[in-house]
This record gives sequence, structure tokens and C-alpha cells, in this order.
Amino acid sequence: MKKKINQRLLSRQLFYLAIILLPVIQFAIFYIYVNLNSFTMAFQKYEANVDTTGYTVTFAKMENFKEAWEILQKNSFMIRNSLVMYAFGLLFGTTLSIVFSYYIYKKYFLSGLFRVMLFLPQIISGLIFAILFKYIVTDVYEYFYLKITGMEGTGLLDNLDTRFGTVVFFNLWISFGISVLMYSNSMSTIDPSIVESAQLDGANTIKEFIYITLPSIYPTLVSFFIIGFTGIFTNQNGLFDMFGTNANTLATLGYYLFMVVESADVDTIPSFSVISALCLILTFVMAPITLALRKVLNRVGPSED
Amino acid sequence: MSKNKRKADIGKNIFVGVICTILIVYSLSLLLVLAWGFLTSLKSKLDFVVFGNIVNLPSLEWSKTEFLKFGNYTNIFKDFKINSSVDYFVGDMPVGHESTDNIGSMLLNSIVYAVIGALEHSFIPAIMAYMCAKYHCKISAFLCSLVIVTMAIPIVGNYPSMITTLRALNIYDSYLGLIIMRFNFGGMYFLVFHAFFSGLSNTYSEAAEIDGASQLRIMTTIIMPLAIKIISTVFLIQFVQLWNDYRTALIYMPTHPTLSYGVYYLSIGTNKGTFAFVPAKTAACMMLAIPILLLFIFFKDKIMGNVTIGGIKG
Repeated sequence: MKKKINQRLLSRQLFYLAIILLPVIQFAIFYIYVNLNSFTMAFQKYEANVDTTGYTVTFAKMENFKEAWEILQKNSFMIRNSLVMYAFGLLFGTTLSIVFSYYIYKKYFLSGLFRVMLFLPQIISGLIFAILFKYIVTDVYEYFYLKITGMEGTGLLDNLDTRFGTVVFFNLWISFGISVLMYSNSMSTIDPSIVESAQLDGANTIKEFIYITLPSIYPTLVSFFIIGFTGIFTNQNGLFDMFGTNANTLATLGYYLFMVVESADVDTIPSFSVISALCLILTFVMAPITLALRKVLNRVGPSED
Repeated sequence: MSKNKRKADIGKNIFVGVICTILIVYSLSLLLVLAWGFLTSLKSKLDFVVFGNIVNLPSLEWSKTEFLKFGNYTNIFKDFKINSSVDYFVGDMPVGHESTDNIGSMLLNSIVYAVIGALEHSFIPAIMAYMCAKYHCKISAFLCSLVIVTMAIPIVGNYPSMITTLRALNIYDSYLGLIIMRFNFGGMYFLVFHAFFSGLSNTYSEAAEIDGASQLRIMTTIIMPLAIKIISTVFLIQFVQLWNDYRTALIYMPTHPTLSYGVYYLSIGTNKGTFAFVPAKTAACMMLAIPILLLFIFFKDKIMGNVTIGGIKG
């Protein structure tokens, strides 16, 4: 009997190890090693061999970091663009998402239809919306401008005064899908008896929204805030979809990082080290802020009471 | 009291009216953009560019083939090709890949890319979560903590390191590389599955074990079927995301263009030739959108109904 139990235990353990082995190895290589390698690359210098093929890799001291810092200084507009786009999304995107979610949660007029419509940009590729939007704000805009004013107009993305605002608007326009769905699903978990008793106590829609709905979705709100915050310097904001490698002054840091890697060939591989150093700088800035922010937000959040 | 109630009702009606109007405008803006894209895809270059028919219905005189026979679509099917190549070193050895892909092979790449990726992204976290939830040991606890820690640490960009690793392993720009890269168990869905399996009674597996079923049999024929609703939801969500994703293919599989990559290439990359006009580009967009829209229509409730930040309702 004991032997049988031991055998069963052994087979359980062997099965367990056999199943988890490959995913754990994958994790070790493609998460741990890749990120450690990213760190190592930031201190390496790649130089193309003259006589043979391949590269000679040497220790670069802090050269890559100096170069990465120069990139940041020369292109400070990329940091500004990233921050402005994030702030705009946070301020208007989040506010509208919550209000729309409340509308859907309360099952007001056509809420089912609006739920589907708001989710549409999540289903249809952002690339498609970016391409169509680009033609709408250039070709279609110019057409109507001519019709209405009788003068030739410049498309909103071709006009230096309006192009940044247009891109910011585009990002807001296609941003609602998943957040509205998550917020409204979170709201739907609120106990109806709490809402009913609040209404009996004379709470109106706004009071109910502020004192019951908002606190109940606070964890979801924090999660979205943190996810958005960690993406400030990796989000491409639809720029690659809209402009390819020609976003120029509209570029954000996320766009820049992707673009450099995407357009790298055998000759520009050495730039990978500088990009790794740049990513490392950004990680060192973002990681402590994000962790602190998460802690603070969780501490200041509303209690169950 | 009734005055207060009337006041509250008025406030509510104003709120509903204003938000409803905004949402109607928003919905119309999405639909109009898509409708404009579709109508434009049915126009000829002559109709759109030369005669400036930007917003009206396609002219039957100038866009006959495009309108009645979907000319732009058939042209893309017949003539659109991507010539791609990539050169790099594995150690000191130069490696070069080249390919020429038409829309058929791009479609095939898309299907393979999205199906394999979605299968991996749904089954691997499910299996690993099952292991961690039902096989209590230090390794399981460590793996759970690891998933949470990796989700909490924001790492900005590791593209260069990922590319050099894939190249060093000689699996860059290949399906094998993609399969291995996607074989990860971390992320939000691991936690979703873990919550599900933790709440699942052990009686099923214990009864099967007494009847002599092996661990593998218990997992494949008893436990996974119980989680199939969540797995299929995750599969659908991942399928949609991967179908639309062109950036991964652009960076990690440059000579295996997907349909989404093709649309990007045609819309942004090609500035001259047969497809360098708006109707052809919008036709390509529609070709990418239609399959996923059909999928959405059939599985709308499954894709949308079950998502919450804390998990997926089974």
C-alpha cells in the first residue's frame, strides 16, 4: 500500500516536472536572459570586423549611456510628446471612459449598441483606423474645406499647427474599447441592494456615481492608470501606423525605439547598444516611480466601508 | 420630496441626453470612417484622383470594374507582392533570408501566425496555472510570485536584446523562433486561470486517480475540458490581437509577412506603382478588416462579455 502511494507521488512529481520544464526554460531564456542581455548590451560596443565578417564586441564603459543621454537631450520633444499624449489620454480618455461605462452599466438608452461600438476599435486593427483617419483628415477635409470656403485648404496632418492635436485626437478616438468594457464590467459587480438603499436615502445619479460607483471601480482604475503609466515611453500612439518611419517632430520615445530597431540592418546593428542603454535609462526612471505610485494609489484608495 | 425627485430626474435626463448624443456622434464617426473606406475601395484611380470624387458614391462611368467587379480587390489578389530580405550574422557567419510573398501566402502566414500564437497564449498559461494551483509545492509558489513580480516591473523595450538572442539561437525570422518566443506562461491570463483552477474542486481528479487514470489523462480529459470556456475566450481575444498585429512580424519575422504587414507595407511603404492611390490602399484595409469583423459578429458575446480586469467569468 505504502509502495503504491509512493509510486503515485513519484509519478505526480515526474509529471509536474515534465510539464513545467519547457515553459520554465523558455521563461529563463526569453525573459531573464533577454533582459540581462539588454543590460549587458548597454555596456558593449559592436564594431564591424574589417578583414572578416561579423563584429568585435568590446566593453564600452559609459559611452552608450552618454550617447543615449545625448539622444534624449537633442530630442527632448519626444519626451514632451510622450508625456502630453499620456496626460491627454489620462485626463480626457479616462474621464470619458468612466462616464461612458456608467452609462452602459446603468443600461440607459441604446447602451448595448454603444458597448459594441466602443469596442469596435479593439476588434478592427488600429492600423486600419489610422490609415482611414489619415485620409479623412487630409483628402476629405481638404474637399470639404474647398466646398465650404471656396479656398484650397491644407490637410490637418500636413498643417504644422494642427498635426499634433490631430494625432492626440486620433489616440483618444480609438482608445475607449477595452477600458470601457473593463470599467462597465467592474461596475456590474456592485451589489444592487447597495444602490437601492442609497437611492432610498435620496442619493441622486451624481451622488451614486461619486460615492458608490467610483469607489467600487477604484482597483480597476488604478490598474489602468499603472498600465498607462508604464507605457508612457513604449507607446507608439499610432504614429507608426500613420506615418511609417516619417513621423518626424511628432515622434514619441516609444515610436523612436521601435523605429530604430525596425529599420536596423547589418550596418546599423551597433546602434542596438545605444538603444539598450536608452531603454535602461528609461527603465531606471520608470520602475521606481511606477512602484511608488502603485503603493501610494493602493494606500489612498477608498476602503470597503 | 417630490420636488427633489423631479429635480433629480431632470438632472438624470440631462446626463442621459448629453452622453447619448456624444455616443451617437462617436458611433457614427466610426461607422462613417469605415463606410467611407469601403466606398473608396470601390472607386478607380481616375474617379478618385483625377475627377476628385472624394466623398460621393463610386461613379458607374469611371469606376465600373472597381464597383461592380471589386477591381481593386482582385488587383491586390493578382498583383500585390512583397519582396523582403534580411541579412545578419550568427557569430561570424553571415546569414541572409529572402522571400517574395503574394496575398495568398500573406493570408496563410496570418492564419498560421494568429492560430499558433493564440493557441500558445491560451493553453500554456492554462496548463501552467493548473500545475501551480493543483500541485502544491515550493516551485509552484515561486512561479506564481514570479508572474506577479514580472508584471509589476516596468521594463522599457528589449527589442535589441530579443533580436540578438533569436539570432544567436539561429531561430530569428522563422516560425520555430516565433513558436518558442510565444511559449510563455506569464501575464494576466495566468492569474485568471490560476484563480479558476484554485476554485475548482479536487474531487474530479481524485476520483479519476482512484480509477487509475494517469496525471496526463486527468489534465487533458477532465480538467482542461472544464476550463474550455475560458480557454476559448482567451483564444479568441488573442486571435484578434495577433491577426491585427504587424509589428511583431515586421521586427522578428521580416521575410514572413502577414496580411496585416502587407496592409502596412501597401499603405505606408509603397509610394509609387499600381497601388499608390487611395482606393487600392483602402481596399487592402477592408481585406484585413472583413475576416475579423465576421469573427466578431459570430463571437461578439464571447469576446466582449467575459473580460474583466480581475479575470474572466467562465
